[in-house]
Amino acid sequence: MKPARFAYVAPDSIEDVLDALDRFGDEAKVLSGGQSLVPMMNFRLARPEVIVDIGRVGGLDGMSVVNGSLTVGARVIHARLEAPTGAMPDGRTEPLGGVLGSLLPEVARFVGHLPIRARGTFGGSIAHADPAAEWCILARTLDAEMVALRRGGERVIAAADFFETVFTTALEPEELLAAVHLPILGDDWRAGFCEFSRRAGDFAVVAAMTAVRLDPATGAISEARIGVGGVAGVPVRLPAAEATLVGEVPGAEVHAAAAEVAAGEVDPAGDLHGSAAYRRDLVRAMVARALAQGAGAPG
Amino acid sequence: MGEPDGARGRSLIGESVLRLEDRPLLVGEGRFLADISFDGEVHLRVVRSDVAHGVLRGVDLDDARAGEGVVAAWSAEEVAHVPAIEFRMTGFDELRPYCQRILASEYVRYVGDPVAVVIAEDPYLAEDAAELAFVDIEPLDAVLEASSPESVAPLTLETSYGDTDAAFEAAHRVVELHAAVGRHSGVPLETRGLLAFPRPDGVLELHGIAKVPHYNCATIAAMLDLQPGQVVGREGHVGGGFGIRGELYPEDVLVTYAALRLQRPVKWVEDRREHLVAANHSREQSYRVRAAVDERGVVQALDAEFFHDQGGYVRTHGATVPNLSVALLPGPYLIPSYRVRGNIRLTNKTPAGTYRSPGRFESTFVRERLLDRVATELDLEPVEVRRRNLIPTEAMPFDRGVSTLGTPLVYDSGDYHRLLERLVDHIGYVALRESLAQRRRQGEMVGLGIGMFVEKSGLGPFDDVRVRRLDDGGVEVVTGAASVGQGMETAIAQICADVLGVDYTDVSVRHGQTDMIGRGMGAFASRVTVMTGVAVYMAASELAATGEPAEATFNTDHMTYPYGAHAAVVRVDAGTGGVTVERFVVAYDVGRAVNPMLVEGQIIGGVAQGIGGTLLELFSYDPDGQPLATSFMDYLMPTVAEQPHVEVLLSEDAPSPLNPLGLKGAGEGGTTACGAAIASAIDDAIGRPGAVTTLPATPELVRSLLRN
Repeated sequence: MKPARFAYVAPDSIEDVLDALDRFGDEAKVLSGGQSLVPMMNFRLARPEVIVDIGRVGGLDGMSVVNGSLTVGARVIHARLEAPTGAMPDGRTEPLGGVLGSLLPEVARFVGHLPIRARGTFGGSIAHADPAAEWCILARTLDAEMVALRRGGERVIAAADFFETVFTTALEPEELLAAVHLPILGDDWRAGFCEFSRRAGDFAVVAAMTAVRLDPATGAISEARIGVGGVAGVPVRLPAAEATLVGEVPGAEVHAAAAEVAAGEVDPAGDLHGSAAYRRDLVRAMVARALAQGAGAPG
Repeated sequence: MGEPDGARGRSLIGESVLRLEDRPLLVGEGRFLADISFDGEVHLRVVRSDVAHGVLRGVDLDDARAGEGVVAAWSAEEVAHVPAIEFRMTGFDELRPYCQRILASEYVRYVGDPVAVVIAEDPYLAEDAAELAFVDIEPLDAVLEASSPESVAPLTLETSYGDTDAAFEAAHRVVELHAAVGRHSGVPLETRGLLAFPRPDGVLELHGIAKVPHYNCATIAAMLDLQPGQVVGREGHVGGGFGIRGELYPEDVLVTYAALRLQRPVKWVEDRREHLVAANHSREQSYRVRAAVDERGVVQALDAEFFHDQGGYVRTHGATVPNLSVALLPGPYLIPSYRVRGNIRLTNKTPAGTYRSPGRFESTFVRERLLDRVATELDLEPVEVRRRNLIPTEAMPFDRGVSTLGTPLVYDSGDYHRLLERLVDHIGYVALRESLAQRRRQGEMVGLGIGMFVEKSGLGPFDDVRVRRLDDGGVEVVTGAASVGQGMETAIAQICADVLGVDYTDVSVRHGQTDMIGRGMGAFASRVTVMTGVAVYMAASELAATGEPAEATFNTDHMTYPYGAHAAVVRVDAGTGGVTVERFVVAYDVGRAVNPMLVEGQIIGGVAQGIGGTLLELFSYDPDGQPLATSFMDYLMPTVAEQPHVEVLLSEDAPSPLNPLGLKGAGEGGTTACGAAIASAIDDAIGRPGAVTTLPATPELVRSLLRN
């Protein structure tokens, strides 16, 4: 469990990082918090020729609120999302309120253990693209936008296009994930997150995030998002289950009906920690609970 | 020999003094194997089979030898003269053909089987070069079920007493059960490792040796045609033992051989992935049992057959684990007639050995599940069935009528009823059952389970101790026992200090240094406090009487038998099948506790491992015999979040009559009935008596019970 030989560069500017990525292409791997990459290298499951450590680069660890979204810098550690703050347009830094401000800590506490949350980064998790990772599920559910930089250019990738398969994203070898835009979610949204893992801190066997928008006049759901991890190579949205919610007033029966559809909508593969049938079962439980949590009711 | 220390009125024995071991560990002076280095050392890497079963056609090491920094690379021919690793315990001639050679030659028998070694200037280069070894294996079908007809069947252990057939003919009812425990093992935080240092005087020093240093050094010397004193053990800090660490493994001999051959210090530090496929596994046994029961629920006879999955080879423990299962399956109950067949079977998995409470965790799970089933079928309270079957204290000492580990199984002392009632009182059995029923009526799935057991401890046959006063006023104790982190230095110092009337912190306990004392048995089978403790008591008493340095030997042919009862309260999540242990209580009688705090620590740690084996830990394999749990992402040990607060009811009702201090060992009773108690509690929670018959009771398993 010693990594194979690799070269190591630690540029101190984004330009130099992008130069390095441009030069080394798919021989290079970006090192952020190292909480997934380093174990994979130690197992020799990852054998990058060149490690580009972005730990010395300034400007990647900010959180700011712009145009109704929270921009999370790639090197923001998980622990900061347990009590998220954002730099406001006027320059002040304030605790992030609102629905997203409540949701992020709810999710962050499921990310690994404290030492992992103290080193691992938000952007690292997104770029690593584990299909059961909390931040990937959140990004997919909320339609986050990923900001990718390359030498001389920038592009924004929608979450729906970003996650391609297990540990594989739309990022090109020359690109650096620099930040992620998350929608703030207005006060008419209700979001919930529920996860089942074998032990505290383990990757989820199945996790679900839900976000529903309520019509202020009727209290009925006008828009619904259900994202699930642990059932495919990427976090998935469940449009059929989402559709069952629209027009309904949140409540146990409505949630159960959506959860039932969700369980039928996934097509998981089984592994050591859960067969396909069991994961389907868990989708039912997790979706119902996330919806109930979002509605402020016990699951 | 009388009660020590009457004069001072207060005995150090029984005081929860702080551990002597803690200071160096807390201030960063721990010296574990990986912390030790010698100038010029080289690093050994083992090349292992990645096929579960196959014909080993050849190992081509040319590329590996050409690797950067490579000093040597060898396959089996190099060590063909080295014999297979012998049994340390419970050997049988029938098992001898299945002993493991230090490198596989004709066949490989599990994923992880060592086939070659590469030695290089640093561990990274050694791992690089090991990847260049070309191992040519023609795969054969892997046998993964001990009970399958394809498994190799070298030996069946059979024993019986009473007239089992007659009891079944006369039975009011016959209660049957199939039950199985999954493959798991002790996973010490410090992986195995060894550093062999060839001294200029021709002696080989072995650092990283643990558990049984004298035995291992002598055995390695014999295997490598060295003089008995030529291999010297230097035990340092040891990060956990649990039965598996410190046994003699192929790597220990390979490292020593390499140091001898190269005349350089050779170091091997096992990595975690290796550990999970190469160090002893344990526990995998499946049972068919039936009880002949009378109208009152008293078990008149027990008829049992089990299959013991030994894995690819028989290692140092020989038949120890199934032997203990055979002997201790009847546990604390009278059971007038008993017949058992324990089938030892070889499969293509990692070889198995002992793990904390070997043979008892498994057999206790099965026996207690059977008692629960008796309770259900006769509509009795689980506790009542146990009351009706326990061996009464008047029957002590109780000759079980079977032998184990070469000694007749005679329970030396015990008041099993009293311990059960103490547990029942402590948990408020009736009120607790009612409150759980109330919670169930409100929709929760919560339940209570209880399990009882007899442990064994204090395995002889001897321990030697030397005690002398030092010039600085301190006292030195030299013993051939070993420390695996359990606190033996403290316990031994307490006994010594108690006799001599000195402060226990002035007693230094020297252990695990094979050139300081001629022989030693080491640390296993909950033996050190009993065996070394009594020996130090004897030697210190002589020193106190004569003022001269003293030596003493404590000999015994009999083990002592602590006993216990566990109670678990669990909550089941109906949606996921997840099980949370809300409460865990261990009542345990150790005869006499030298240091109650250490005993509690042993029990609490034991419970953690018991919970692991009950709910989480499993070495699973795919159909080709590829191990699936090869990292801590997939081999799930409980964390502090899964561990409940453990309530310990330490009992000293039944001092052992077999030694002057009344001691019994305390190392294993936290683990023994975890599976039994938690399984029973899950049944109770889900309202399905007898539902849990296999461990681990994973969420998926529990959820499937809820669906059916």
